Amino acid sequence: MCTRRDFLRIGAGATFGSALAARLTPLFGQEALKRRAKACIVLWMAGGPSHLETWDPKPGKDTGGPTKAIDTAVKGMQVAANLPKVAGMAKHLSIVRSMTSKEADHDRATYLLHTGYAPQETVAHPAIGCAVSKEVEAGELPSFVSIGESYNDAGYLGLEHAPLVVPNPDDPAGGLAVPEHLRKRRWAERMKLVDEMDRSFGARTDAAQVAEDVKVRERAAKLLGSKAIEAFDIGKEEEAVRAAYGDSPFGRGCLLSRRLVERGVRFIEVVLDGWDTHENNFDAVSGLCGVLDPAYAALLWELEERKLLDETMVVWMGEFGRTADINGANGRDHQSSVFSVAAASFEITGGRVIGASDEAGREVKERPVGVPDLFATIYTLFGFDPSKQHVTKEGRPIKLVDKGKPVSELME
Amino acid sequence: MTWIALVIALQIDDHIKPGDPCRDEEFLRRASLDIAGVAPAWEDAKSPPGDRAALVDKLVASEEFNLHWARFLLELTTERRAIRYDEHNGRALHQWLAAQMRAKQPYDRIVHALITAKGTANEDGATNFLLRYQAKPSDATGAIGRAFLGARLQCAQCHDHPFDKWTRDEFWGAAAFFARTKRTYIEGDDGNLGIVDIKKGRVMMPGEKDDGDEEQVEERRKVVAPKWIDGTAPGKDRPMREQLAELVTASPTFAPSLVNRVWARMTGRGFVEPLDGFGRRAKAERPELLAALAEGFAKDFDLRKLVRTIALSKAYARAGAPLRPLSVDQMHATLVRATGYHLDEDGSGGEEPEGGMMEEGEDEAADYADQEPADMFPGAPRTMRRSLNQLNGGYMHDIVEQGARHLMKQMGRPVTMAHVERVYLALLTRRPSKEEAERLSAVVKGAKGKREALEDILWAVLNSVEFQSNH
Repeated sequence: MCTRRDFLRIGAGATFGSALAARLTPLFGQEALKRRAKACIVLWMAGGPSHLETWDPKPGKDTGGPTKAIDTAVKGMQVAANLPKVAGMAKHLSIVRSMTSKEADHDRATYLLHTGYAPQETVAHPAIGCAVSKEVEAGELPSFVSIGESYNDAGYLGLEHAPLVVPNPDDPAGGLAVPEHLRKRRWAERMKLVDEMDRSFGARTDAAQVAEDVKVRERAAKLLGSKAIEAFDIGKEEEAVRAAYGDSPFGRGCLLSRRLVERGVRFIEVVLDGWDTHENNFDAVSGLCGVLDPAYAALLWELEERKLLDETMVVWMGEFGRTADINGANGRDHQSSVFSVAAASFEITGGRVIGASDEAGREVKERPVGVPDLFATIYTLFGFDPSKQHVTKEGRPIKLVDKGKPVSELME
Repeated sequence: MTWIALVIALQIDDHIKPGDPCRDEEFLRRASLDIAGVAPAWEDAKSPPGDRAALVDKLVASEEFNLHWARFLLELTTERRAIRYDEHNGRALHQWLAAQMRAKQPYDRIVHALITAKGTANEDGATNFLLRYQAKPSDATGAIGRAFLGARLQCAQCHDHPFDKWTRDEFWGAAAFFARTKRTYIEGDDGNLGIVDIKKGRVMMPGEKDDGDEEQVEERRKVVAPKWIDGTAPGKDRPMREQLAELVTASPTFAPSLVNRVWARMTGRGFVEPLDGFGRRAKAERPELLAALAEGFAKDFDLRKLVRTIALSKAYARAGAPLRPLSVDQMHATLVRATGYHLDEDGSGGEEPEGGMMEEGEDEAADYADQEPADMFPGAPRTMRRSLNQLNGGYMHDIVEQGARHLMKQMGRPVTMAHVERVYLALLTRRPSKEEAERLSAVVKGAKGKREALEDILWAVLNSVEFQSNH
């Protein structure tokens, strides 16, 4: 069995042994379903990642391009050669190759793959991270942290459930660590001053409203002053661990997400942008996978090693896939008729492929999975009823997921 | 009685809590922020004018008014995608709107131009309204409903509206006015995205999804003929969008909906809430006041006059107005004016440029106004993210340090209470009270007049609810 040290020593291109590669059988059946996921990490591939160069390669077909397929640690399961390290972790992964939606516009599809709903003019649906934040009790750290920016509005749930956004994973502690020269005397002095100002202002004006504003500031100040913000300091990790995730903002974002899960954050999104490969698709995707592969594999490895994979979902997705046909610029355009997502978690029995695209990778061949189905699965794994309704300010009841059926193969 | 006099004469009742009129210094700050989008300069704050009409006249005549209300119209027409968006050029739209404000173009003419715009995104700023909605008939119709009529027509896009009476047929009839409008790449110097009229085109109304059967939905699609929601069908003699623009600007809720938005902007609450709630059964609070304002506005659609009227009403000038969080732009403009802070192109801080951010027509100046403020104050007001950044963001520390340096350069060292007073005047439009002066003087003494005392005070003021809201 591969130890952590082995893992850290393994170079690019290596895959892990397949001693544990056998597909895990559903040991617990219904029993196991009673366990709940505590956290979910979404690896968000902004721009629409090509399924054909990641999870659903078509070597030898016209539409497959030059992309090769490689074996994974799971017998019979192949992925694109762009993901050698992730292939070694396949025992944790379930690949859905039959995702399908009607949204092939970036904004609309990004909204759909964040909320489970197509955009409607009359209501702003909350992103799933915000909905999870609403369902759980807040700890010392915010329940939902977004590393990089995407569509993560809290919609009708209200600002309280908006994520803490860390725009730059290279400086995750930026804005959180109080500068040294202020930390001692002056910080406390400043807090006291502003507090006095607000109290006197509240007494002259609208005390209730001022108190509400002060509450938000106090929450923020408490976080700034707490030990918990150490979570954001990835400098505290061993050099070897940091190196395993790769020298990239996304890699550091993934490492940060592991630190946050360890400290009780419930939903984290890490964004890797650049997948809108209308031109030069094959080089571009291979470059992106050079960033993705070590970070993703290291994240799964570490979560497993720290026994966190037992209670954490890791979902890889983007807003849609890419066209099977290769365009004149050697690129691929938007395609939502079929695309792939990958998921890992305690319930998601790894090492399996769900659904299939047709030979070209253009349409669903079997077992279509809609976006609401995927969202219903995630909510269910968290232990939340996907049909639970929230009522908007206008009095309109809206379900967490409309008409989605949890994907049973992901929960066996 | 003129309509202005009528409104001023109107008594305040249950729509707004009655109260004494606010003091001159309160009025100066409130009106400057609302009308010009920036708190008054410290020099003006020293002696707040008693002649409020003269003050308001000066504010509505300022270049800051043009930029601030162009921003208001930008947000109205593009919703949450004002500037940063791939498919339209928000900056060109803002510049076009500012030019309309400078030219004192009536509001109905502005809307007319937005609906009928042709040309390219970069050169013809007005096209960016339709481009924002990809010139899609249904999206553009929904946007026209919300922005210009205060009504959620778009609900009828998919189903007959449950609360209002618009039907799908009415919605799609309106959308069909865009049948010959096309978004396309227009050849030119830079070959950019634009809007053209084509000779032939039609709008298909999707089939109803009553049983969710997609194939049937496909089968039931049908071509719709253009017909405005009041039943008017367009003539064949003139371009359809021109006729649509006339119908929109003549609609019964066209003037009231804008009046309602401006009123809400300036007082914290609309007569009709939500602001796009002008359904056919909408109920306004104080309908006669809304009607009077709207009737007056509809005479010449002069936005300056409307803002002036509201600013000089008793309702606006009352003490104890609700606290409204400053917008990112109000906050940024005030900070620049007060502290001399500005950002270099690379995002680092620098010395104050001559003329500041409001320099007319300068691309660089527009950059400050359009981009950096949102970076400096990310997230919505009253959220954790905004709060964390205000307490401890890199920008905030820069502003505080540069602001203190700037003041000490102007006023000399060590820090004295005169420096502190300047901070109060520039940011809060008032001097410290006696108690505050005592407390702050102890801070200054404790730091032996060093710059850090001024930094601490500046930081505290910038983080105070008093600074961060209009009241």
